[in-house]
Amino acid sequence: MSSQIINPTLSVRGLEVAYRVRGHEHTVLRDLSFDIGHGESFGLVGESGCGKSTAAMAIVRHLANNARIRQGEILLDGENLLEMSKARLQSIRAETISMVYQEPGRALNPSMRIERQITEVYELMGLSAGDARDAGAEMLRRVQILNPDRVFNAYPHELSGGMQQRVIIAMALATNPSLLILDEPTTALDATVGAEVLDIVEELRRQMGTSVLLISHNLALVSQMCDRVGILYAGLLVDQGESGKVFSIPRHPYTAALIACIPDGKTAKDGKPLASISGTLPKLGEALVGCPYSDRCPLADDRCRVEEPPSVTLEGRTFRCFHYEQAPTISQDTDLITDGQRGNVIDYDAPAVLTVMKASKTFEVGAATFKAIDDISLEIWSGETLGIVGESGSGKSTLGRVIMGLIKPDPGSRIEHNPPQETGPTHRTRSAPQMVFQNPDASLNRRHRVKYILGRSIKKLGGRNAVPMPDAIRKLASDFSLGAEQLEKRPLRLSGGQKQRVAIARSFAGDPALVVCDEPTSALDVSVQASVLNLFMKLQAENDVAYMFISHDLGVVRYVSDRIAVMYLGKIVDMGQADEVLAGPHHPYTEVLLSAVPTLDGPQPTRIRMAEMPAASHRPAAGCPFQTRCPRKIGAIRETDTPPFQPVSANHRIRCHLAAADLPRAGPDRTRT
Amino acid sequence: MNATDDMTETKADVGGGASDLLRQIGQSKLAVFGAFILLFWVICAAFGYLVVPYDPLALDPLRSFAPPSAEHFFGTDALGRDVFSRIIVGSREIFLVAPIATLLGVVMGTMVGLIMGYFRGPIDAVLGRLMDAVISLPTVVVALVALAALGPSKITIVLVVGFVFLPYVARTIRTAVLHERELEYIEAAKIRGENALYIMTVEILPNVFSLVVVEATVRLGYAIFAVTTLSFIGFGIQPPSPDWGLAIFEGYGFLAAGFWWPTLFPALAIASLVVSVNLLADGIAETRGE
Repeated sequence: MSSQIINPTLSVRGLEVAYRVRGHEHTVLRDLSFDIGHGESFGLVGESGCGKSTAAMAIVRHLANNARIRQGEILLDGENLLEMSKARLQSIRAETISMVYQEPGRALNPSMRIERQITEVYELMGLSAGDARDAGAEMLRRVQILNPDRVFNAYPHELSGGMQQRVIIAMALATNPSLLILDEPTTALDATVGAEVLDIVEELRRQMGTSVLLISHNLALVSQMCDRVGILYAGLLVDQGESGKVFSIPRHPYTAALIACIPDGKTAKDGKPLASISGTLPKLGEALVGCPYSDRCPLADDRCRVEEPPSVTLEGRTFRCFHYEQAPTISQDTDLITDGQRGNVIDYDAPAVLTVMKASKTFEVGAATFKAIDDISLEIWSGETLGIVGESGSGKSTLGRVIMGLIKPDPGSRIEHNPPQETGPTHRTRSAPQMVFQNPDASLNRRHRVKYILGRSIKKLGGRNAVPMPDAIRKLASDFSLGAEQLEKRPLRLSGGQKQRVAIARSFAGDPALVVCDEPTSALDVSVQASVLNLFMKLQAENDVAYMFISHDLGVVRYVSDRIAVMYLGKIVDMGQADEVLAGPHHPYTEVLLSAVPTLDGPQPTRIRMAEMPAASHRPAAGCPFQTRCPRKIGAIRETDTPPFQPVSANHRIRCHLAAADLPRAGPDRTRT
Repeated sequence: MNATDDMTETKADVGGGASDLLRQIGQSKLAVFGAFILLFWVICAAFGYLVVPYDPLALDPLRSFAPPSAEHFFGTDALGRDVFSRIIVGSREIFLVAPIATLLGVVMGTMVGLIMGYFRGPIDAVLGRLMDAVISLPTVVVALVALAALGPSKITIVLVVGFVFLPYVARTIRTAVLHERELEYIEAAKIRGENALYIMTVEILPNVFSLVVVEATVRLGYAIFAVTTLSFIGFGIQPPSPDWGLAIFEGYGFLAAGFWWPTLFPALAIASLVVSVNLLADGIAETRGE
């Protein structure tokens, strides 16, 4: 056990939690021990189902009814939370521990103005109504809400997600708690907004000396935010220590594999393939013999399979692995095997598979109208990936749906597929464009068996070929590593990665010339994401398919894309060869986006702040769409004239009034290969 | 999905099989109780005539209005017929007419609901106003008009009750379809060129089917009530067939004279049947786990 911390704020000792399901107890956390010192931030990282949220809920004693703490202790300032009276627990929750959840919209009461919700916290502490209001306003200023009165008068739905989360953080810190628990605080927010929220938390932690427990699936974010981290796998803390060291010298093969499977913004598709972790997480409650990671571990030997490695503390690191010395130098597996070279040769002289000319789509919201996409022109060639980057509201999903014929564009827009395609309920050709959606739980019919889902697509897209249907289904399934066992199941019974593979297999039932991928890995865990991305790359190398790859994750987009287009409020503001877009010169918005991405290694670029995203009704009517938030705004011209595209190189165009020479360029720490 | 979700999702995950449904209903004691009462009445309707102590049609004018006794458990009515035997056998017509009427209403309502929810826009608006108009008419008035025009028959009752139930079912299904149509599996179907009929019946219907089942059981309770009401006002089953609604009609005139048994026992029979169906409906609704 790591016990260097003297007088920790929170000390979890040997915690074991089990859930009771249908009469059986399933252990989800085992022998969990960690300390958080005064003013320290500790990150708990792991994939879905590893027990990280359970740990948070156990600490605030808010576990589900069927959960039971079997053993262990949770000491808060030396007092055991598990042996506390109800009344004492209540006052601890009110004053000493605060918690911030993933979705800010659900943590606020929708029918109460913000003022009431904040002042209530202070009134409970015994302040008079007037004092409570002043204290609330002061707290809002500390979370960098410049105009507290405006926010006071608003209802939660009138605030953006970032503002809501700031209000919640203000409320959480109102009592000056000694421990703040953040459970995936930025997962529901855009990268730039999330980055700002975390900066605020970081600043307040320094000022107020609050201890922070940050729970996240995002390694880069944790490495940047936290002094120390713990990696959870199947309910066991497998690797723990100072965050810089954990990520640079992993002491558990799982840590090493996690780091290797994240596209870090330097990995491109013609370079090294992403590492992937073979196998799957052990099912919850499965009887585990030996190391829970032994099935997936390249270092596992007979001893690992029968004997569970004990928790060992060495030089400030606590880990559970017999082969910890080899962990940092493991050669990582990859499931990406292609014949021939990786990265396609793209023939830019051939006709493009997709040509979009001056496409716009206007939506009417009540009496007002707004352009979800505005004057978009682009081309995609066979074998090429065009990455589309932008935050929520940028119109990237609308663009994908317009291209697929699901949304009818405004008159005057031209969408041309090559070979030409019909849309609407009709017979499809084998080359018909296809789409892979973000969430396989929504894009696969939960009442249909995998067999039917694939068979139907083969029937509609495969044309009438000689192969009998059951064979065709089996062939398609096995191409996507789905066995006969999975064919008989409904999507609910599949793992996240299997579900998305079914969705991708369905798109390749024919022989599509273009596949629009709308955030296809955003709902997946990092290890699953890596193998899905590798699958996309393998399919492209084999079939010369073109992708339009929509994502908010710049690392993912860098890995898959040949060219990148950055969208802001319905317009493409920056478009060009992937490496040129990322290396600069940048559009000011691209620069902000890049500065918001946390990285695992190297110094963090200085964060560039920008104003709040305007509401749809307050979008600029004329001029540059980014004018209201641009950190580099040059003057009145932005408000009247829409900037034209200016070429900054042969393959890179930017929509900005700034002269090419004045455009920002990535600093040396962000230079990409 | 975190560990907590994994452990609590089992409730929402009804595998869809009939055995699963039965197992889930079995967990609610009230639903099981309701199922037993319902089963009792179904057996009575099917085989009751084999076990009744008296011929339900046999008149015995000498023994009219005999109070409940060991000989006649529930007494006899104005014509001296055995009330107990008539109740046991009297559920027959209800079990014939009410489920068919319910089925008709639920099938048509589901179709209309699918169309309204899927197409939305003007189709939804027009059909929606029509549904509102039907709902605003009292069931009994519609039934009286139809029965007067078409003549009293079982088919007329089935058509009338089915027609009156249609809009309620349609409204419920429409709401569920509005939610489903926003899910991406609909877009995925459109992308592979499916037509509206396929999307409504093969893609959406299985996902709202559990709601259809709930709606059917709830409506069955109302249908039993409606059918007995129509018998009571003389437009249902015709004398001398034994029927609960008719029995109440024939008996309630004599209540003031102190002869309560020919009215009370059929009324209790109706109540027990309606309550049992509703208990079962609640049990099925709970298994949807939403």
